[in-house]
Amino acid sequence: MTQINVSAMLDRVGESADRFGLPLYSTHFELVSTCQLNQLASYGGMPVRYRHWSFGKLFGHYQTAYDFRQSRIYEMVINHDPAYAFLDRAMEPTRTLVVLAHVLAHVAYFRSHAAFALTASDEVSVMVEHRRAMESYQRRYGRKTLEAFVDAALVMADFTAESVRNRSMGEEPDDLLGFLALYAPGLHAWQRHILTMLHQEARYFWPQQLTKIANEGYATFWHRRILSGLRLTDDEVLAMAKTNAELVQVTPPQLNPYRLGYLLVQQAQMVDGERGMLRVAKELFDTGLVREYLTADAVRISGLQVSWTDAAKVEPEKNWMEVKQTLLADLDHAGLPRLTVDRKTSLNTGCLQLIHRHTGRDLDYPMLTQALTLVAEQIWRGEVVITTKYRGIAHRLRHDGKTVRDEVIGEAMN
Amino acid sequence: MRHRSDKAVGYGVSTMTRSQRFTVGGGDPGPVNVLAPDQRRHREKIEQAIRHNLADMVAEEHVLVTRGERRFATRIEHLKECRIRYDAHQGTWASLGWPEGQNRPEGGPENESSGRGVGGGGAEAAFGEEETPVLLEDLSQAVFSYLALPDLDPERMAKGEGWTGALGEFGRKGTRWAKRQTLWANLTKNAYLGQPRIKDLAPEDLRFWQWSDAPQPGGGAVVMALMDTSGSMGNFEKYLAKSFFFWTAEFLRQLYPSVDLVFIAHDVRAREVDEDTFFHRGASGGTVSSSAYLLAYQILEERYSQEQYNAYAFHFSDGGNLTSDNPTALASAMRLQERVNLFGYGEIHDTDRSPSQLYQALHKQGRRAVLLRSKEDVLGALVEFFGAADPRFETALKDKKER
Repeated sequence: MTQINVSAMLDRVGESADRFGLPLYSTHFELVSTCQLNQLASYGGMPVRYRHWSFGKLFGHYQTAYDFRQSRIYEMVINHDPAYAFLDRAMEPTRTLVVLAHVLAHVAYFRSHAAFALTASDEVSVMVEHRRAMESYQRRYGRKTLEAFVDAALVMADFTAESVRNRSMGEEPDDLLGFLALYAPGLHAWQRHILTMLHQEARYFWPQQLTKIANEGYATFWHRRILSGLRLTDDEVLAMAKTNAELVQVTPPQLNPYRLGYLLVQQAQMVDGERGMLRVAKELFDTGLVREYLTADAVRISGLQVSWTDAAKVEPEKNWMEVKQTLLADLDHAGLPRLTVDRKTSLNTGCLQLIHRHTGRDLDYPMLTQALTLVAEQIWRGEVVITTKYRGIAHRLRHDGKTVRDEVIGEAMN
Repeated sequence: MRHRSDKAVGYGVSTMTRSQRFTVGGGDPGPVNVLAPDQRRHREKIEQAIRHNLADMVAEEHVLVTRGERRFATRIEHLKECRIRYDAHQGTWASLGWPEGQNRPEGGPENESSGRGVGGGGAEAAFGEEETPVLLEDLSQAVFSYLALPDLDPERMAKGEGWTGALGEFGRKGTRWAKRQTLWANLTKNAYLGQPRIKDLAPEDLRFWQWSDAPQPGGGAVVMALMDTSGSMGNFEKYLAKSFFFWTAEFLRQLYPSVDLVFIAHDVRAREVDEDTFFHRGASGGTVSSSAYLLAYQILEERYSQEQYNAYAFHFSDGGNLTSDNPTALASAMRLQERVNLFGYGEIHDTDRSPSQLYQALHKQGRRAVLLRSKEDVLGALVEFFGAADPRFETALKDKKER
C-alpha cells in the first residue's frame, strides 16, 4: 500500500461517510510496518511512553501472536486533536477500504462522545514529556529504585476515580492514586511527580476502558454503513465480507467486543432510530449500552450465556435477565474491583485505609497480599489496611511495615 | 521510530487528500524497535525467574513432552504484573457461545471449555492465563551455564564421520601462494648451488598451499543409559531417570554434532532395548547390576571405538542389588569406568532409606555416585556428574537440599 492508494481510498470513503452524516475530523494517517504497529499497540497506541518492562512483555505477546498468525492488528487510532491513525503498510489494499471506514468512525466517536470530552487533546506530547522526566529520574536515582517504585505505582493506577469528569486529582474517594500522590507521607518530590504523571496517563486511558464494546460496535456499524454506500469492485466486496466475518467471529467463550458491540448498536438503531445512534455516539458507555439495548432477543441471537469458573459447566442460561445481569457485572467499573480510600482516617491515623466494596466477586487474595506489600513498602511507607470480604466473611488485610496479617472481622451479612 | 515533540507525529512528506481533511504519511521505513530496552528488561526478569526456579523446571514434565517441537518448554507464573483483581477462579461470567442456528464448526473449539474464559471480568486477561512461556533453549542455557565440561581428553577428542578440507602440504601448483615456503625453496636451491642466500626467484621456486582431506573434528558421543527395571522401580523412579537422560543428551549435543543413546535395561539379566521399552515397559524380578555393566562394556567395544566416540555411562537404580552380586558389580563398574569418559551412578529413593552397599562402595572409592529423592534432585545429579561451573552453585544446591 502506498500513500497515494490510501489518499484515493480516503476520498471515496470520506464522501460516502459525508453522505450518511458521519461527522469527519481532520486525521493524519501514517503507514507503518507490522512491527511498528505492534509497538504502538504495546504502548496503548502511543508513539512514545515511559520505559517499563511491562511494555516489552506486551510487545512480545503481540509479536508472537502475529508470528503464529493468531491475531493481527491492522490499525491503531489515537484519541488526539488532530486524530492520528496508524495503518499496517503490509495490509491488503482491498481490506484497507474497510479499515479506513472503521478508523473514521473511531475518530468520530472519540470526538463526539462525552467520555472523551475532557481527555487531553495533546496527550502524545504529554507522554513524551513524561518519558523525559522518567528518564531523568532514572539517571538520578537508578533503574532499580525507579522500577520498584513504578511497579508499585502501577498497582494503584487502576484506581483513579470512576467518573470521567475531570475533577482535581485526589478529590474523589475512589481516586486512590491521586490521594497517594498528594498525601502519602514521606515521598520525595520526584516520586510524587511520578504518581502524578501515571495518574494523568491513567485518566487518559480510563474512558477507553469504559467504552470498549460501544466504541468497537459503533465503528463496526459505521464501516458497514459507509461501505454499503460505495460502488465496490468484486474483489472489494469479497474482502469486505471476509473482514467483517473475521471481526465478528465467535471464539467461545471469549466476549468479542466487535460482535457484541455491533449487535447492540444495531439494536439501538432498530429500536430508537437516529436518536438511538446519537445516544450511542454521545453518551452511552459499555454498561449503558448493554442496559438499554440488550433485550431477550439480542441475548438469543448473540449466543450470550453464563459460564461458571469453578464448575466445568457452561450452559446457555434460560433466563436472559440473568445473562444480562452477569454481563453488566463483568463490565461494571471496566471489570476492575471498586476500591475507595477513607481519607479522614488515613490522614488522621497515618494508616492508609482502603475499602473494597464487595459486589459479589472475591478478590484474588494472593495477588492482593503482594499488592498491599508493594503499596505499603514503596508508596505509603507505613501501615496499610484493606477491608474486603472473602467467601462471605469480612477480612481485614494489614501490612504493618514488615509483614501482612489477615484478620477476620466477623461474619458478613451475606 | 523518530519522534519530534513540536510536531508530535509525522515522519516525512505527507499526502493530502482531495478534501484536505486527511493527510497520509509514509512512515519511517526502518523497523526501529523502540521497545528493545523494555523487552530486554523483561527478558532479564525472565532469566532471573528461570534461575530462581531452575531445580523445579529441570524436572518439569512439559520439557519432556515438548521436546519434539522445542518451542514452549515450560511456564513461569512469577512474572505476573501485580494488580488488584477479581479472583478469576471463582463465580460466573458472561460469555459468548455459538449463536442460535449456528453450530460449532467441525473441529472447531469446544464449547464446553471449562476453566477460564474472558478472565473473570472484562479488562483482565487479554491473553487468557497470564504466564510467561519459556523456550527450551533458554532453559537449557540456564541449566548448562551451571555445568562444567565433562572430563574430556583433548588428545582423544572423538573424530566425526565426515572429512573436511584442511591446509597441509605444499606443492608447486595451487591457488594460495605460500610465501615463506617459496623463499625457503629459493634459499635451499641457492645453497645447493653454493651460495646460501635468497636471490633470483624463479618459477620453480614457487610453493603453494595444498588442501588435503582431514577428519572432521568433534565427532560423536554415546550415552549408555543403564537402568534397573526390576519390580521395585516405579514410575517416579523411571521419570527421574528419564529427566536426567534427557538433559544429559541435550548437554552433550552442545558439544558434539551427534549423540547416540544406548538404552540398557536390566533386572537379573541385561538387554539392549529401544527408548520406549526402556521407560515404559514394566518389569519384575531382582537386580543384578553387573549384568548391565558387562553388556555396556561389550557394546562399547563392539560398536563405539575409543578413537571415534566419547562415551558416557550412567546407571540408575533403586539400590536393591543382590548382595552376592556386589563384588562383581563393583569390579565391572570399575572396568566400565576405565573405558568411558564419565561414569555415574544414581540411586533413587523416595524414602529416607539408607543407601545401598553398591552406592557406599562406589562412594568410598571416590566414584561419582548420587542419591535422588525428589524431582529437584535431577539438577543436583547433573551438577554432581558434570561438575559445577560455579562452585557457589553446588553449595547453594546442597544448602537447599539440607533445608
